[in-house]
This record gives sequence, structure tokens and C-alpha cells, in this order.
Amino acid sequence: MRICADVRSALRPAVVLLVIAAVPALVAAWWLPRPAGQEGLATPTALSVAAAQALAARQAVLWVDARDAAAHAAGTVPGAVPLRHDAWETLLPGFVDAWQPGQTVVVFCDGGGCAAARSVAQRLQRELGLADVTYLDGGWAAWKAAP
Amino acid sequence: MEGGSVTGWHLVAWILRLSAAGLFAYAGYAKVLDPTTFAAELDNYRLLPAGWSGPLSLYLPWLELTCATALFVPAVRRGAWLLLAALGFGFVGFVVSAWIRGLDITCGCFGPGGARPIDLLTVTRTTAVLALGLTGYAIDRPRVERS
Repeated sequence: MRICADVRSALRPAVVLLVIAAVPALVAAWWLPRPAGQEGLATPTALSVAAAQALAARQAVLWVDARDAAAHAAGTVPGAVPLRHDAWETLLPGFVDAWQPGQTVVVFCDGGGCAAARSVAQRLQRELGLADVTYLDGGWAAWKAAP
Repeated sequence: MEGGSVTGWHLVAWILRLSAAGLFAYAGYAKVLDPTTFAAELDNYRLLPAGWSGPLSLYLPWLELTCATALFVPAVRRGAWLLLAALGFGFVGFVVSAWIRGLDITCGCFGPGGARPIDLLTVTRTTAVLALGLTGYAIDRPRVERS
């Protein structure tokens, strides 16, 4: 009870500080460029297997495998480079070596609504400033099932 | 309470205030200069709902700076300690979560430039920050000097 009363007594000045901190934050939001690197970068879009194959037939595509190492070793899209969150710093140099200007990057993972492919695609946009990044709808499962 | 004890508490309280203020002022200043990178680092934890990292990347550094300053303003000091302890809990939650999930990401705790991925040292350091906030909240309170 005493602890609760103690915290309650500190809550009012805490709220005051929360409000005070919001003032310069709002000013910064007004003056600074938009955060999160969203300027000029589109949200990664999903690409069907058929569309991805058609794209690969027309232009250079860099496939990025966001699945775990075992799945990647067991089989992947020809030429795909591995890149995933749990080994980002280790695998990123391999991606950078493989990537060529003008290439469309297509990230894929296991299948279904695979969030890893989307988040890896977003991270590539944010951290490397790549605009032409998309992810494969249906992932590896859809790729294997495609004719 | 004897005058000597009060002096001793004052000394401990001042050490805690200076330590926490220096730490959070440095952390806030480092991040306030580059909210875009901080937003990306927040996103890398993959814990926040979409769209939260941008506003948080603008607000959190200013909150840290405000709390660091407020530690030297008696009227709001208890609120500042409460917020710093709460921030400490949040930081520990994020860092431990990333560590458990094996995410190969940088902490983002002290602004951009920390290339070291989250590891046991990061977890220990963040826990120490939480301990500092809790200790400050527990110890640094108004004391009545009796004659």
C-alpha cells in the first residue's frame, strides 16, 4: 500500500515531464525530415510467382532467401543469396557482393503470409536505401508448386 | 536522523543523480541527432506495431533528456526517477527479447554507430541501467532532517 501511494505521488510530476518532453519532440517532428527512412521509399509489395518469373525473364533479379540456414541448404531458388535477421551482419556482405545496380530484389521465405520476407525487404529498404525491393507471395512453397 | 547521515544520503543521492543524468543525457543527445537511424533500430526489434517507431524515435530521446535535466529539479525529481525506472524496464524487455530470439541487430541504446550486435554484455549493461533507475527511485527521496 505504501509503495502504491509512493508511486502515485510520483505519477503527477512524471506526467508533467511526459508532457514537457513532447514539446521539443513535436518541434523536432516539424523541422526534421520524416524519420524511419520512409521518404522516397515505397512499402515492399508482394509479387506472385508468375509475376516474379516473368520479371526475372525480362530483367536481372536478385533472389534473397530469408529462411533459416538448413532450409536454404536443402534447396533454394537458383542464385538466391541467404539473408535473415538472426545473421544479418554476417550475411549482409554476401548480399552486397551479389547485388548489382538496377536489379530488383525479391525476398522469399517458407510460404503463406511469411512475415520474415516482408520484414527483410523492409530492412533492406531502410538500411541500404534500396527502392526496388519486393517479396514473393507464397514464398518457397509457391515457388516449388509453380509449373 | 543525525546530520552526518543526512549528509551521507545527500552524497549518495548526488552520485546517483549525476550518474543517471550523465547516462541518459548522453543517450538522449546521441539519438536526438539522428532519429531516422534510431527509428530503424527500433523497427529491427520487430516488437512495435507498424508506424510506432517514427514517433517514438522522436519522443524517446527528448524524454531521456528531459528526465536527465529534471533530476536536478526537486519538484519533479521523483517523477523523473519513476520514468527512468520505467524506461529501464522497457529497454531491458526489448534487449532481452531480441537476445532470446537471436536477432542479429544493434542495441540502438546510445544512438547510431554501435556496430556490436546484442549479446550478454548488452543485456547486462541495460539491466545495470534499470538497476540505477530503481535505486535512484528508492533512495533519492525527500528526507526530513530532525534536530
